[in-house]
Amino acid sequence: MISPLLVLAILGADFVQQEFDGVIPYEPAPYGTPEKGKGFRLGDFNGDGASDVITKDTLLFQIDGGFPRRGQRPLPNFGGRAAGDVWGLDLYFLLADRLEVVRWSNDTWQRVLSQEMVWPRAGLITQLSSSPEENSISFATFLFDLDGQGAPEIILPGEDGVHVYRRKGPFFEPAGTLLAAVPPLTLANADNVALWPKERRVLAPPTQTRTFSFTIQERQIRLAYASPAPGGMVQHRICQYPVLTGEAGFSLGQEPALDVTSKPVPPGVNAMFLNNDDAIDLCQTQVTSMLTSTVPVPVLNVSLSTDGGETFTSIRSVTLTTTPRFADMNGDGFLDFIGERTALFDGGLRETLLRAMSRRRLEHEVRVHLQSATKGFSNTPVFAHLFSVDLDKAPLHQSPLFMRYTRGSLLDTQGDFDANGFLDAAIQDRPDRISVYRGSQTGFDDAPYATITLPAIESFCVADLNADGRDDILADAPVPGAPDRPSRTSIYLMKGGAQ
Amino acid sequence: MIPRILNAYMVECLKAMRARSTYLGPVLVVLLSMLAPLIHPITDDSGSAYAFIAFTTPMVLNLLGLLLVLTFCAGLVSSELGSGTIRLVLVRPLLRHEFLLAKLLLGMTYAALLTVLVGVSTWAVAAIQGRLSGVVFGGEMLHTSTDMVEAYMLGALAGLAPQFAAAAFAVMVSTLARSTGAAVGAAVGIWIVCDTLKYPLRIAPFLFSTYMESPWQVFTTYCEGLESSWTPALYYCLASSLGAIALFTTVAVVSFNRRNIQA
Amino acid sequence: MPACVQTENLTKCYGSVVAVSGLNLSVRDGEVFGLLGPNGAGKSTTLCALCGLIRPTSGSISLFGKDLRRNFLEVSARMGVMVERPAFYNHLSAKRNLDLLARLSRREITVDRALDRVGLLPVAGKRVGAMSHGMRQRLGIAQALLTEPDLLILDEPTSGLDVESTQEILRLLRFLADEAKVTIIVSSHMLHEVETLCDRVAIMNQGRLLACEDTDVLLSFDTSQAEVLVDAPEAAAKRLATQPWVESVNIQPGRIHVKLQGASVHQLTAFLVSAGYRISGVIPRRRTLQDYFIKVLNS
Repeated sequence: MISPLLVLAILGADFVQQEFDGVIPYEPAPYGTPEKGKGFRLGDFNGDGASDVITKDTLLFQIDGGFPRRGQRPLPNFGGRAAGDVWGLDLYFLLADRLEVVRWSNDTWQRVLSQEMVWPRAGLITQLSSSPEENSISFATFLFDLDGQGAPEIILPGEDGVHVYRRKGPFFEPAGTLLAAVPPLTLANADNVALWPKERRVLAPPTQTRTFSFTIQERQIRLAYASPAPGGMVQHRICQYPVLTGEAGFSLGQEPALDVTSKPVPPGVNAMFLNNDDAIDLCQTQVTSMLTSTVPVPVLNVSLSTDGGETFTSIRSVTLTTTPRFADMNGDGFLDFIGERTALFDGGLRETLLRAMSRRRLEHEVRVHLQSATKGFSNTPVFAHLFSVDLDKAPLHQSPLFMRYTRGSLLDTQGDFDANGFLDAAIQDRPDRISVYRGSQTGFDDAPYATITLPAIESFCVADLNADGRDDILADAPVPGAPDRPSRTSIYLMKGGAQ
Repeated sequence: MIPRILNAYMVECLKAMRARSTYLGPVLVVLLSMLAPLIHPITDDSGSAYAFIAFTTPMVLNLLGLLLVLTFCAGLVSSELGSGTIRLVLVRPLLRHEFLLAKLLLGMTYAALLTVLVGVSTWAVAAIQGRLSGVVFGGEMLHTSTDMVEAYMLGALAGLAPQFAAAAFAVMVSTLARSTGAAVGAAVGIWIVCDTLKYPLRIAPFLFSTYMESPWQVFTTYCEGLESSWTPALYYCLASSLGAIALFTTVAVVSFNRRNIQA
Repeated sequence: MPACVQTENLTKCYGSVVAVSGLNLSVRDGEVFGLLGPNGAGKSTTLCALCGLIRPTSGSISLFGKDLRRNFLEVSARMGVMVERPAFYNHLSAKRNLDLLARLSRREITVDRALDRVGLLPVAGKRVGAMSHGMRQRLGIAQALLTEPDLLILDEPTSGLDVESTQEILRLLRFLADEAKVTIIVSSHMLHEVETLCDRVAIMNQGRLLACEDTDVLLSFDTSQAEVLVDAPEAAAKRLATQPWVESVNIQPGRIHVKLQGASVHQLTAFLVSAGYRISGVIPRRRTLQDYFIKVLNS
């Protein structure tokens, strides 16, 4: 008998739907980030060499290239909010007051470590402590190998710096606070303070705040933060320090390996990591209305700088979405800007009203502005593709599908389904269909590479679930004939097709 | 044939110029253009004056102007049919299709006149109240004043195509109706019905009415500092408009040639 | 005499209603041709077809020896038409109306001359909307005369005119026919006008041509009837009634009206004289168009 997968490989690419009948509570990737689906993690938890999937309440073992129901196991219950991270075969869970480490062994969860901890009260831990009675798991990244020994250290930001915990014997213990890295405290915005008139006088104790983000790579910590600059401007700074390992713990090297500062920029301009060079990348997003239109046509104005604010590239487009979308479309290590343009407002007031009242189908243009090392972002799209989206109702009805359209969640440009190194576009172009258009150096194909048909798709996300190099799709849709049941997640694994 | 058409066209122009109702439309569009700063104020900012022009021109032309063109053209033949004056004309050495083409030319002239008047009045208001020195965005001169004038002129020129198609449509309806009221009602009514149903029936891409504002898109987007291209919307606009003009004129000529002119 | 207007089997149907059926008409050059018939007879439809306003369902029309449809431009340039109630651009003056129509005719035309002919020159600047029905009717004739046509087609040209104006118009038309050799086709309900004006008359009913005769023939003396002025009408009538060649006798004061059957007026006179009656006059009866019209319709 010829294998169905072999047939698929000969005939072309297609998705293979799993017989999975449960619910995978995934979260679509936050719009505007180059991340893939969140809410689940991949890892080989049973050591069989195949990538498994762990969601916030379920572990899905990969069996025979898929995720059948018989491979589904519930996660342990920790009795509170927990943030999870994966290291090898182990699952680490941070709770507000302790650390739990579990491992799948002998067909059950084995507790490897359960340790009371006093975490710094900031960032992630603050979120975990906010509603301790809630029993849920989310995923975060807090495990790093700072010393290169192969065992993970726990890195958490605190009020006074970045705290490091390392394993000593069976337990974790504090191993230093990376003080030099944190930016100075600044006075918090005192909007609620008023001295005059007397009858409205409000005095509030001065508060101080410190906001920063950090990444750890190859035993170096990189911090980014903004500090006030003259004229109501802000200045973004990136410092990168080597992390030194000693008996007493971890400390930072005296001299920063990198210390760059941006030009003073307006407060709305955010620092981002859009490439791997040392310069600060900046992005400002403004939503305005078209001056020339009788209807309020939203214009998304994105100003991008890859040289620390020396030069900006402004890209403006008529779109309902308010967050910029980035993805490394051509795999060169530089995140490209994915501009979008809706045709909802084309043709002036009369056509806009008619379309909003009576048209289900909307044209949506995806415009790719590639980023290059020398020229930054291209001012005009390097290529564009016009997709046609069939909403279930005219926009005026504000159907759930249209609302998802306005949030930009009908389109995902993070998946490489054919593993050719160029990202593809997955778009829900009908209430019951997701189409995948292959990306290449010159743009997206005119015809779909593969399609998924599922009644009334409510959301979807992209991730390489089986770690075969081809991205797969998770899609939520109601269970046919059972409207009372929660929507079922279907897994579509990408199979076949040319590389 | 052409001298006879031009002669008939001149006669039609003279008739229209002698009718007070002809002046209502031009006066209205000029008034609306002059009063438009109340809706869309012109500031001293760069581009504000252009934005005013881009806001006012398509609005006046494609809302009020379109209605005026439909009303004017729908009455061109039907009024003569209703009053009986057509019997004076059709017994002269003039073929029916020549008479109809003269009427159509008059309708097109009216549409062009409205466009010119709106253009002149909006640019005049913008020049008086604002600055027309190009569009600057982020300190960078994106489009010079010459670019803007060129984009406007080309837009206005191309924008005549759907206006002419609307005129041809109304003249066609005019030849089929028995009175001016019926013709105007039918022209506006059919237009509204077609516009309302064109998206559900999926015929919108083939109708010129879908592209009424397409020619202005480039000028408008220039004002916004957005990237824009004349194609393909302009091609669709021109193709659908010219197709519509040919179709409506043919239907009008055929039906009018077969029509019996009797009280 | 060559035919100026010729129709062959001219038929016009509106759906199932036949307005004109198989009409064969021939109007000679320079004659005044009257078209008579009751309402709905097809007169106006025929006239509209002759001037190209109506497309015949079948049959052909030739004017000046040329097919109307194929040579419309040439033929219409030699034609003046006023069909049905004349309508004008009410917001324009009489002169402006004619000016515009003259432009369409593309001929060197004196508008004032046309207005003068119908007596409207003094009010040439008056707005048509403010004119009386009679004035508009005259203006209608003026626009038909505008191009000094060779053929005039007029539908009830004197409708709504007072007696004096009617006489003027009739005189004008007769003048045009006699002096300018214009062929005129008129339709009218006014039989006495047609009698006065037309050289030949056609009667239509229900879309068909019933009769077509020269007016001279129609209006000749009828020798089978006579009025006799006699001194004793009653006695004479009694005497005549017994005679086999007398069909009927009507007594009127001072006279008798005798209808003869195969006898002549001379025979009647001789009989009465021989019978001793004193005759002061014998008047043969003249035929009228009305008689003819009623006779044709009744037949």
